[in-house]
Amino acid sequence: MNVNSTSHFHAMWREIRRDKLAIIGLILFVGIMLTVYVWGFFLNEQEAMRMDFRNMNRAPSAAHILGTDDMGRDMVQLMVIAARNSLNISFLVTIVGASIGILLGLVMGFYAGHVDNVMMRIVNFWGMIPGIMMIILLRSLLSPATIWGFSWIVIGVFGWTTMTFTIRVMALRQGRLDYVSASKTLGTPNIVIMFREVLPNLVSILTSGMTLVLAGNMGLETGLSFLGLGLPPGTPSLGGLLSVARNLSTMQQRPWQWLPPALLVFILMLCINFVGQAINRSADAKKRSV
Amino acid sequence: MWKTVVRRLLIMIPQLVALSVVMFVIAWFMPGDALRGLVGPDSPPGELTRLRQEAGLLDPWYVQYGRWIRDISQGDFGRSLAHNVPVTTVIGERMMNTVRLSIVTTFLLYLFAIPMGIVAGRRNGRLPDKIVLFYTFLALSMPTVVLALLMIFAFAFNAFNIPVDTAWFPLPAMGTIHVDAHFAGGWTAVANRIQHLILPSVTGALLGSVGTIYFLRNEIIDVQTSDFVTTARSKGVPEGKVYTRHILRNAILPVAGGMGASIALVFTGSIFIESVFTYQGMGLLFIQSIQLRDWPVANTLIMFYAIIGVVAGLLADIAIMIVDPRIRIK
Repeated sequence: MNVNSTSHFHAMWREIRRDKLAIIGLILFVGIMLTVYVWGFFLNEQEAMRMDFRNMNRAPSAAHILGTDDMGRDMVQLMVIAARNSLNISFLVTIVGASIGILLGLVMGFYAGHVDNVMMRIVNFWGMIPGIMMIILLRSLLSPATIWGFSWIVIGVFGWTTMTFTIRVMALRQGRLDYVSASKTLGTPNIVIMFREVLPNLVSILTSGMTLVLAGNMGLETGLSFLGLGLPPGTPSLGGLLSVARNLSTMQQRPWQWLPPALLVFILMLCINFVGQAINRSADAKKRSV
Repeated sequence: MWKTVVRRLLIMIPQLVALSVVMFVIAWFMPGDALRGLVGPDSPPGELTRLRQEAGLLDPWYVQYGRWIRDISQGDFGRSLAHNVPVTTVIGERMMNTVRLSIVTTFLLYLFAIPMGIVAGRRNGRLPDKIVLFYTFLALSMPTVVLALLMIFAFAFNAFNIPVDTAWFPLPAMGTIHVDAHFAGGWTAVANRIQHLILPSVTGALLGSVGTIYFLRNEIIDVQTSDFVTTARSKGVPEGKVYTRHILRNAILPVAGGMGASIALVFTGSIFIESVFTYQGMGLLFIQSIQLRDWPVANTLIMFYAIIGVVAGLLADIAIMIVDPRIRIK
């Protein structure tokens, strides 16, 4: 089955290579990520976060390429830390959420029947709750002090449902195929069929789903942190940096404080979506370029 | 058809009951309440406990839940802890603003999405299609708050120095209607309301149109190659008529089906949009009541949004039944 999943990655890579926008998106995304993580690693975070009241609200200059914020901190350094936090949380939410979704979706799709029925009722019920409002409510109820705490809230409310639906539908389809019944007849344990035989066939759809969810989570984090209901205070994130624009005079007179983070979120999400689109094509034989 | 509708309505009831329990338990565990703010340093000792006792906040949760459900069935959603007026009054003041915004947004959404979807589907793979697809990428990658901020920056502040006397649109902090316009009444008031609506609704419509464009485009591409279209073409139906009568009629079906999701999306998206534009609607009210720990209002709003979602789904199903005879017969 290993052959199978490598061929999936091969098809994905072929689609990405053929799509100019996807390849630009991939290079840009990896470039930004490397910059942010490597720079963030060497950056003295406490030094960067230190307030400097003699340099408040400075316009972009040679000393501060993107100027300083309302507490005199250098915008470039602040953005590196913020982008790292935003990326961390988006990846964390996506990966943990997808894992839960894969597990639930495979079980529902594979066992089908009553198991599927009962679990679907629960998932449907959960889908009825307005997710963003629930996150906001739980966020202010639990007031988490770390990135981890906040991530768990988002994962618990929101992160797992999309993937569960996607995987369930695909697993239901796979479960009816001959290779699954053949494997059952041979006496392969169900768990092995699910994870070693069905799952590798879903790699493309999984990856394309995860890229879309990744971009979505990034947008969600931006929105919530903008409202001051995302990451805990003192932890900069791209959405958190944006929130200075809620002050109208800041928005008008000091655009360097909010425009760069806004564009950075937009560019990151755009890159992810371009790559995701190419992967999505590789997952769907109908759309694949020949 | 009515059987299906009634069955769907019946399924809703246990879901709503479960939702209300979840909401209530969460709210009950919430630390801090607005009553603390009513107690000053010169209040007699035990005043806070007395106030809480009076508000019934010290009873066990199931008693409070029972009371809450009984009150709800009588149309009483409790009192706002922060404003000390009934929750229905607080929400009622804001509801029409959100409804107005949602109607305009949904209208604009389909006004943008349907032509773009049709053009992209019809000119599949060619330049117009590529332009529309590129637009959908931009919209998909734009966080709501970022577009809203850019809109304010560009149009309300007139950042591009377009030579006019004043900015085109009012600054967001003004709320939904200018005081002078409100008292002037008549057409001045209506025009002012519309002026306040344009930026938030265009923002919502631009971002919300992506799903509908995809739906319509894919459906048109699929239907284009089906046998009955080939038949219509070969018997000499003019190309324009093939599109309006044969392809569009079929392709528009999933758009009708997606309408419920679109409306639900517009409502949920209103939380971010209203917050950025400080548009005095229910979404902004939710954020404000969370910040004030005014949980009766927040709680009711979540229930309300959930019900809107469910009803929108139901209406979408009914809409499909009306436009698609195949489902009606089942």
